[in-house]
Amino acid sequence: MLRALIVDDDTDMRFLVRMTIEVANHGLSVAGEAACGADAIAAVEQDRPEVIVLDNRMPGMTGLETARHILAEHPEQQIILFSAYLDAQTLAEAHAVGIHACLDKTDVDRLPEALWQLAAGA
Amino acid sequence: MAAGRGRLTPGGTAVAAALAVVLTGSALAWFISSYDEDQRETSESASAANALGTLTRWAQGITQTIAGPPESLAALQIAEIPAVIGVSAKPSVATTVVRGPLPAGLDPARVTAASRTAMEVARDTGTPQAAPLTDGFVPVVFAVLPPSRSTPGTADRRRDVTGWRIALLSPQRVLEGLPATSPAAVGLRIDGAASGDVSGPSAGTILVAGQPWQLQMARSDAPLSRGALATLAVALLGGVVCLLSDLRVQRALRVERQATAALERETRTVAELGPLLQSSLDLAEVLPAVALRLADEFALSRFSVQLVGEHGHLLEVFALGGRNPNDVEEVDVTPGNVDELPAGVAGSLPLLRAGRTIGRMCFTGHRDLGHPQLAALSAASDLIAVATYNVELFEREQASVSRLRELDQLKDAFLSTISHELRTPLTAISGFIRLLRDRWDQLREEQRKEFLERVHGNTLSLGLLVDDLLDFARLERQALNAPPSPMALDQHVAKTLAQLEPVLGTREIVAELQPVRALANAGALERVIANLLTNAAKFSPTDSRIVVSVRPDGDTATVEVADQGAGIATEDRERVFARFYRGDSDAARGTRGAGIGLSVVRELVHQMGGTVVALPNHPRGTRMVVRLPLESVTAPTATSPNGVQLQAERSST
Repeated sequence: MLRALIVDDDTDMRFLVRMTIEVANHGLSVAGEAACGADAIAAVEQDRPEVIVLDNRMPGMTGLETARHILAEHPEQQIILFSAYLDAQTLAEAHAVGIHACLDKTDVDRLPEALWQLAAGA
Repeated sequence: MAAGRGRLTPGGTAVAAALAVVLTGSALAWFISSYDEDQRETSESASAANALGTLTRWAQGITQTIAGPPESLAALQIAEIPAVIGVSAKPSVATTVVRGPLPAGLDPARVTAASRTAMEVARDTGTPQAAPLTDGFVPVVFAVLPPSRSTPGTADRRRDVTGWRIALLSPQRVLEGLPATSPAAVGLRIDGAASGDVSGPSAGTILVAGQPWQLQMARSDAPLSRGALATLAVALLGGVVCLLSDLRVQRALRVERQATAALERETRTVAELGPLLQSSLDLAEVLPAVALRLADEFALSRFSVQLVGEHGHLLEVFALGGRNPNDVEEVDVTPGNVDELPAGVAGSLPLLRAGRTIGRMCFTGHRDLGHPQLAALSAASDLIAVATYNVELFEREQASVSRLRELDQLKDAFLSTISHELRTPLTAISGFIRLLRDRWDQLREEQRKEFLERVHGNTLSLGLLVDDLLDFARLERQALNAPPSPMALDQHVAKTLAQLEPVLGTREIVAELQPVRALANAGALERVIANLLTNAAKFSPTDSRIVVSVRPDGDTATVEVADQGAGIATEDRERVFARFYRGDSDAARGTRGAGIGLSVVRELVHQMGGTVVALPNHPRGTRMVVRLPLESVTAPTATSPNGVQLQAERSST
C-alpha cells in the first residue's frame, strides 16, 4: 500500500486530492493531511508517508522550502510538487531542491498515475 | 580705484595743481622781484654815482686847498677838516697847530709819525699825499716850499722844503656831508682800513691825495617788493589750499576705496555661495559652510535658517551662535523696508520661492549692517531659498519615485495574489466536476452531494472575490456609489448570513439580531457583511465561534462581527482598512488575501453615512464594528456621476 501525505492550505483542494486517491484505490491510501509547511514537516516525522503531494504556494513556508527541510532530514523521501503555477523557474528550483515529479493542479485526475510512477521509480 | 601706469591719481593731480600754483606764483614773484631789483639797482647806481661825484669833487677841492697858499688854508672852513698841523723840516722846530683845535685825544706826534712816509713822498713829488687812517682821521700831507722858490727836481725839493702841512680829514664828516640818497653812502674803505659801515655794496673808488677811498653804500632793506611778497604769499596759500583740499579728497577716496573693497569682498562671498549651495543636496552639509562664510564676512554673531514645516510652522533647521535672550522679534530687513540694521539687533529675510514663503533667514551683526550689506545678505537668502527649494523638490521627487516603486511592487504582488485567489477555487471546481464526470458510478450519493456543495462554496467564494475586485476598481475611479435607504437592518443581515453559510466552513455562526431600522444600501450591506464574515472565518480557528450582532446603539445602529482569532495589533487597527495592506502578523502571513476587502468595506460604509472600526474582542479575537445612521436621520444624497448602485443579492447569483 502506497501512503500519501496531502499538503495544501486550501481545504477543498485537500478534499479533492483525498477523494481522487481514494476513488482511484489500487493500493493507494491517504496517510494524512497538512495545511501548512510546518504541519507537513511534523506529519512526515509522525506518519512516515511513502510520498508527499505538496502544494507550493502556501501562506508562511512555501512548498519548495518545506521540501528542502524534509529532504535535508530524509533525502530518500518521494515528493510530487502539486501546484497551479509550474513555470520554468519553479520547475528548475524544484529540481535543484531534489524534487523529481511535478504535476499541475488542473491535471488532478492524473495524480494516481503519477504516484504509481514515482513509487515504481523509487 | 587703482591708478594705471602713467596716470595721475586724484591725489597726484592735487599735488601737481598745488605745485603749479606755487611755481606760477613763484615765477610771478620772481618776475616782480626781478623788475623791482632792476629798479632798485638803477636807483642805487644813480645814488652811488651821485655820492661818488660829490665825493670826487670834494676830494679835488680839498687837495687843491691843501696844496694852495697858506692864506687859503687859513680860510679853510671845511667841516670835514677840523685841524691842520704844521711840521718844520728842522727837527728842532716844534710841531704847531696851524688851525685847530685838534680833536680830543689826538696826539700831533703820533700823527706826524704815522704820516712820515707820506711826508717824504709829498716832499719828493710836490703833490699832496694821504697817510694811513689814524685815530679816525686821514692825515693829508703837503710839503711846503718857500714862496719864491720853484724847484722842479727831487733833489732840489728835498733841500728846499721847509716843512709840511698836515690836514686832518674826518671821513665820518665826509660821509655826513654827502647828499642824502637812497640807499645812502654809509662807509668808506680807506686803503685797507674802514670807517663807518662797510658791509654794504661798493659804489666806487676815488683817489684822495693819492690814497684810494672806496665808498660803501647801505644794503637794500627790501630784497622782495610787497607785490612780489604778496604774489608769493598768494601762491603759497593757493598751494596749501590745494594740498588741504587734496588731503580731504584723499581721505574721502580712502574711505570710498575701503567701502568699495568691502563691497567687492562681500559680493564675491555671496557669489561663491551659489556653487557651494549647489555642491550638495544635503542641507545639513552645506548650511554650516554657508553660515560660517556669511558670519565671517558680515561679522555676524548669530545666523539661523528656519523652514516652514508640514503644519505651516517655522522650524529652525540650522543655527550658528546662541540666541540673545533680549531679542523680542526679528526686524524684517527685506530691501525697501529698512536701510540699516544696528549691531546686536536681530534681522530676518524671507526665503521666497515659486511665489510662496518657504522659510526665513535670521541674523544678528556684531557691527551695524548698512544698505549694501543688507542687499548682499538678501542675495544670499535668495540663493539659500533656491537651494532649499531644490532640496525640497529632490526629496519630493525621491519620495514620489519611492512611492511609485512601492505601488508597482504592490501591484505586482496584488496581481500575483489575485490570480492565485481566482485560480484556487477554479481548480477545485474543475477537479470536483471532473471527478463527478469520470467517477460518477464509483461515488456514493453523499459523496456526490458533498462534491456539489464544495463546488457551490467555491463558486460563491469566486463570486465574492470578483465582487471585491469590481468594487475596488470602482473605488479606484471614485465610481463606487451606495446610496442608503431605510431598511430593516436585522432582516438583511440574517438573509446575508444564510447566503454565506457555504463559505464559512465548520465555524459556529451565532446571530444576535435585534430589530432595528437604519439607513443602508442593501447591496453594500451584503458586501460589508460578506467581507467581515469571511475575514473573521479566515483569521479564526476552524471550530471557533463567530458572533454577528445587530442592535440599536444610541443614535446609530450597530452591526458587529466578533471572532475568536489572533486579533489585530493596536498599531494595525487603522491600517487594516488601507488598500493592499495585509498586516505582518503570524495570522496574516498564514492566510491568503489580496488586501482589498477591508478598504472596500470602509468605502461602502462611508457611502452609507456610517463608520467602521476594528476593536479587540474579549478574551481574544477582533470585533469589527459598523455604525450606521438610524432611519430617523436624513439619508445622504450625494452620488458619483459615474456611480453604479450596488444591487442586493448579486453575489448569490
